[in-house]
Amino acid sequence: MDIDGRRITRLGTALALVLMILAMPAYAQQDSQTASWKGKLEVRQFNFSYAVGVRNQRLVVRSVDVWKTNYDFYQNTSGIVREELTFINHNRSVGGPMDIRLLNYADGEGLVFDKGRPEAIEGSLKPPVPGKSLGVKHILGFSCEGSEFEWKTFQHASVELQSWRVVNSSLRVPLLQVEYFSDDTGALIALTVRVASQVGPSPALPPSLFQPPEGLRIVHVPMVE
Amino acid sequence: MRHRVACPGSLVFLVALALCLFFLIGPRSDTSAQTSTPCCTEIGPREIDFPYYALDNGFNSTLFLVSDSPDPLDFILAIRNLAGQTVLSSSMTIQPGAKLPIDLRGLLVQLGADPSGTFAEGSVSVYFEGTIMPLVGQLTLVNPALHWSQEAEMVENDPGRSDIPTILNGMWWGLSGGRDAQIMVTNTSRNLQAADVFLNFDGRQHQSPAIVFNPHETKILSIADQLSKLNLSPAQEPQGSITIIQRGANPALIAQGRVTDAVTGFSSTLEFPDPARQKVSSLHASGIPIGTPSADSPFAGDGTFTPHVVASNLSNGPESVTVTVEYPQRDMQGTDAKTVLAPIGTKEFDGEGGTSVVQTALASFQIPAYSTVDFSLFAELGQLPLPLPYASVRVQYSGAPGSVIAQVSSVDGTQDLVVDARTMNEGDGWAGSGSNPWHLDSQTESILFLTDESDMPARIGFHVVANGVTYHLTSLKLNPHETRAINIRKLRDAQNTDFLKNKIPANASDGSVEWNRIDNVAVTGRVVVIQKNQGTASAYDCCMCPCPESYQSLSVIPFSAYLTVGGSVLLGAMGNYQACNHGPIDYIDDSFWATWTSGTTGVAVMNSGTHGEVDGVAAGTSTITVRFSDYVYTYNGVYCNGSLSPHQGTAGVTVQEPAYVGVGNAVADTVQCGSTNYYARRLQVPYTVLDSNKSPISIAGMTVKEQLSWTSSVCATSNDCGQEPSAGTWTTDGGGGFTDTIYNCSPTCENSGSCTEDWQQTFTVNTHSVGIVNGSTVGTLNCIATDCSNTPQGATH
Repeated sequence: MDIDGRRITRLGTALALVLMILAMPAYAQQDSQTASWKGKLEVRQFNFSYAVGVRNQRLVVRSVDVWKTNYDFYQNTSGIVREELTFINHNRSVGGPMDIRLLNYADGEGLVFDKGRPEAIEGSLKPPVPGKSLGVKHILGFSCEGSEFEWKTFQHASVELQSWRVVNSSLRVPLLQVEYFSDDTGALIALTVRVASQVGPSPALPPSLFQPPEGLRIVHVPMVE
Repeated sequence: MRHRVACPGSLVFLVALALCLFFLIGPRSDTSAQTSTPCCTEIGPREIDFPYYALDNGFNSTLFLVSDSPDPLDFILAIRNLAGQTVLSSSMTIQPGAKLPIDLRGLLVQLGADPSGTFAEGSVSVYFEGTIMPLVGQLTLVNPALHWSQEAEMVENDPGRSDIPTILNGMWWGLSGGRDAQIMVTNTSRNLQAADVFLNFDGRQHQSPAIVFNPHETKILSIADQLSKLNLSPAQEPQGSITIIQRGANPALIAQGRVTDAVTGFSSTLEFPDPARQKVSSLHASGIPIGTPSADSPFAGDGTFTPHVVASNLSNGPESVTVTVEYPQRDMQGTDAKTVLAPIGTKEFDGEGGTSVVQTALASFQIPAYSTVDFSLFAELGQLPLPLPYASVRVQYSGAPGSVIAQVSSVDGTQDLVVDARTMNEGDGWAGSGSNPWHLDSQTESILFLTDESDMPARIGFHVVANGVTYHLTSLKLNPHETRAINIRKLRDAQNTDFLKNKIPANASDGSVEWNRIDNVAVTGRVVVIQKNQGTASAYDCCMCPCPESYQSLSVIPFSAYLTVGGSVLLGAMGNYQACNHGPIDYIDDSFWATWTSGTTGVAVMNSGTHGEVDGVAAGTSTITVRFSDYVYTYNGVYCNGSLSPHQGTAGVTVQEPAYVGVGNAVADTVQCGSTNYYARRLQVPYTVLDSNKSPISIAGMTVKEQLSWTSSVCATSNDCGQEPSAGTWTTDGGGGFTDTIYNCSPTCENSGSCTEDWQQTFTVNTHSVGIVNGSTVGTLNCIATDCSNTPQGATH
């Protein structure tokens, strides 16, 4: 039998490509066609409380309470993400807006407002310091690059943020973020974990979804995430 | 542990001496407990016998004893070899409700006997003193290498009152491909015992030579040998029955059989049902796998099963047999020939089943006189909506009660796993109770199957004992013809708390389960222990009492309760029931059937729609009375007599009206503001709802709402931060408490600015406005002040 080496090489290459494609995550295969995305985001913030009695200073309460917030997110073809609050487990007292988050990852700016309220906050999506790489991990079938950031706030709190963002895809929403927030004494005040799930392609999304209401009174803050 | 080895000649003296000593030193209950129930409460010497154990050829034998006694129970074991030689254990004790596994090999070694030689096979007797059936058990023979599992059922053989029948009827089946059936027959008496033996097949009885048994001797009869004496082989007569008729006035022979196949691992236990318990012409086998069990089945992944109904006609005329399969079904659709018997209502976590119970008459066949039919349901499985989690099989025959004996065995397609189900006569009251062992490990599951054989609902008293803890189910009720599968692992892992605040210990791997019918209807059940790695299944189905449990008293749970005006609390009427052997109390929630009254209707009334619900009308106290009548049973030796007995219970309820919220010890700390990088000072203020006397209202579930206002004649208010917070809503905990948390995470603060946000705060409880008690200050509102750097403050006015 005559064996054609070039045909075998081409066949092997084609086979290898097919195998590579088959081995890629499902959404990565769809990415070239995927313009819009949707998914869910679950945020769990563990507030470590070393609380001291107001009247009786000897009264000390050591506890952790968990703030749970869930969002649905939508990303349009321009890479702008809209996050809509779907669940919150605590009374908000005097809280900043959080109902709707419009996050423009291309510009690195975010706008957050509450439905029916005039106030909004706007600030950078980027940490104030450059990060160092944590390497690559596969999360939810996506190849993600991790970055770690450490900085001090104006209150001298220490923030350590580990963020995993998708590479080689139009998806901009970080799939996993873990943040340690410590006060100036080194006491851990909060541990926050943000996890994306049920991520998938979305049908075309209306432009109005990514436009803030008119007349918002905007307060600029250093960072919204 | 001391031991004795005795030869038959000296056995009489030694056993008598041991028993005399045992009964002299053993515990004696108060004889005043004896009542008009002649069978069940008499204290006396008891003996239960097990016809066979084996420790050779790879067999292990374990005697599982389960105590249904409320007190520790002393007993001794007599282990006898085939020749009738006996070794006696020293006195042992089993704790109330405990399961005690006794490894016979280990015990024999301790007693100095040779489990591989002279004591490799034999029988076991247990001696103790008590009422009837405070101690029940079963002997399990397992051959792990060959995946064989067989059972030896106990027979009660009390001095002067024995359950050993004169005629023993058993059957063999499946003798193909080199299989043999062995019948192990044991003489439980110290006398010679003779018996006539008949093999029944092909329409007639074939008499074999009479057999004489030495005292306590066990003989193993090979069906192949017996057939060869008739110039026949098992291949020619693969199924048939054997009748052993004992001579003399005092029957003493008990028997157990087995079919084994070393090639496939096939193994089946052959039963010898007591003719005295065959009271009607219907038999029931509870909880067998059928087809390829569904994913939610306790048998899931164990194989593909074909049930065999093996029925022997013991009469001299032909009989017809009808086989009906009963099974749970979740989404009953279509009518076909199936009947929806009853919807299954809300259950506590007590088992698995469907939303309806379906009966399908699958087949009917004829059995000629003195013949045996091995009827495979393989061809009929297409009539069922497979897959099913499990099924029960009802066998009805046309002849007189006891004229047909039957066994149902569900055989895996590879023949490796056989799930035997002993058929219980629907008229056998003893079948309506069980005191069974269970075991759980990574490879072992234990499932209790309970079947209501009747056309009426059946309440079941139920408790599990593990590691000294007793856990009750109080709402276990079977619908007509329902089979309920109670997965002991799921029951344990659910970690539910019963009304006595008990849980099955999460790490419990062994225990007992005791169940008994409360209603006088036909019920049967059994525990199936499946060892998946060995491919074996053991069934435990023994009993405690011939009658349902008797109604003893009625309690209201809880006996005191608090509720608010306009609120409600649910009370339960817990009936206390006890089996005739004076075992532990079982509890049934009789709230639905009981009559409820409130003593002071101006304070509290009984809800007309929900049984046991008390609704608060006005502040005050009321006595709630519940009345219910149920049956007390006595057994006259033939049937159970029930007489209605009324009982009542009471509870006190206190109705409170929320009037204040009381401020507790506030604490302060810092909190990160959501996903921003600002942390704020936080004030956490605990509150308790109080009545007009400023007493706490310790009730969970009250709805507390705050009202916030930025217009106040009392408070200085400010919306400088532009973030008027939303009013909070809380649900009180069991102590009537809730916590208000105040912090300022406004954007201005988050952007290192400064602002103030101050407001007026008031509260409502269950929609009614309440005042505020803050130390010595009693007011109607709080003034709350916050900013970006200080701890929020509140002041009551």
